[in-house]
Amino acid sequence: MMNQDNRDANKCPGNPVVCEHGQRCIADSLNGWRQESWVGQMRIQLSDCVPCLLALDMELQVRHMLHDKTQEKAPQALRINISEALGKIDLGEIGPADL
Amino acid sequence: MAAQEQFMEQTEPFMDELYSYAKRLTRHDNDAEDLVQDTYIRAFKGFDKFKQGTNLRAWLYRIMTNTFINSYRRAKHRPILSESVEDYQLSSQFLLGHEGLGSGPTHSAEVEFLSQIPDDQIKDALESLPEHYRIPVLLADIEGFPYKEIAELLDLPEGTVMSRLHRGRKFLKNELYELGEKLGYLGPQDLAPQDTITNKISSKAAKRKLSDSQQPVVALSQT
Repeated sequence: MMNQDNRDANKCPGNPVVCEHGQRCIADSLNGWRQESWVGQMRIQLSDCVPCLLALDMELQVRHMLHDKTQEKAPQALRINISEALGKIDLGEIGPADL
Repeated sequence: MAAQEQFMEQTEPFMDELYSYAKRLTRHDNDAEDLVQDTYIRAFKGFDKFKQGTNLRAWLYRIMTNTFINSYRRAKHRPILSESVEDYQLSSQFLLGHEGLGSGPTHSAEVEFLSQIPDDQIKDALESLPEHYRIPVLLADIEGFPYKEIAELLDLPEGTVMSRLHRGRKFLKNELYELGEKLGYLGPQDLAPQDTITNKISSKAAKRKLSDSQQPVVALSQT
């Protein structure tokens, strides 16, 4: 439970760039941002800090967007090649010198 | 054959994202396919050394990154700017500018303009980052690895990773904003000449403060 002193110390000045508590939470949240439970915990810590929460959400949106925009499907031919190559290793048809 | 089946069952779910990562690393379709194949072969050969229950995804990324660094990089080494850890603290985690935030709707327009940039141009922007900065940015901001894991994966001190991330993000911000300007999502009036990206964003934010209700900073109607 956060006491009054901590609440005051974490009071957001209204701008994430000068909000130490917000900066810390945003940095922590973005450190492994694909772990939703972790980000959820950080969002709770920012619940009294609306501009910082907004900044965090936008940074997360950008990362999700960049991730989604850069994902590509591995070609089917590549899957077949890998499967065949692994099969040869399994059967001992190729050794380390072949790689 | 059972070993191969067990290996593929566990590793195949990562193939698409590893292929995407390989594309960003090598910047060539054929090299990316070769890199994925080499990664899978190396991983399969070392699979008995992998501790079940630990992070398979990070293990595969580590193999791919090391394979790339040792075998695939074609570009000559570019000099790395001095890796001071002093300047990465402030705003280093931001891919957007947040000075003057508080004007929510107009600020979210920055996210909106990024969403309108075509996928191929986003990929080009990422691929244009110098390799030393590209790898940490890909791992942290695209793949979502924690900084500590990236440091272990690259065998670098965490401070060095943070410093490279800071510089890489600055490069990427510049690339994206220049793209936005080129594509007409940002007007030249939004970008003061010779500005750093932070100043560009500050300049935009200052304009927003002056007139939140006037025309948006980015032209959202353009697609």
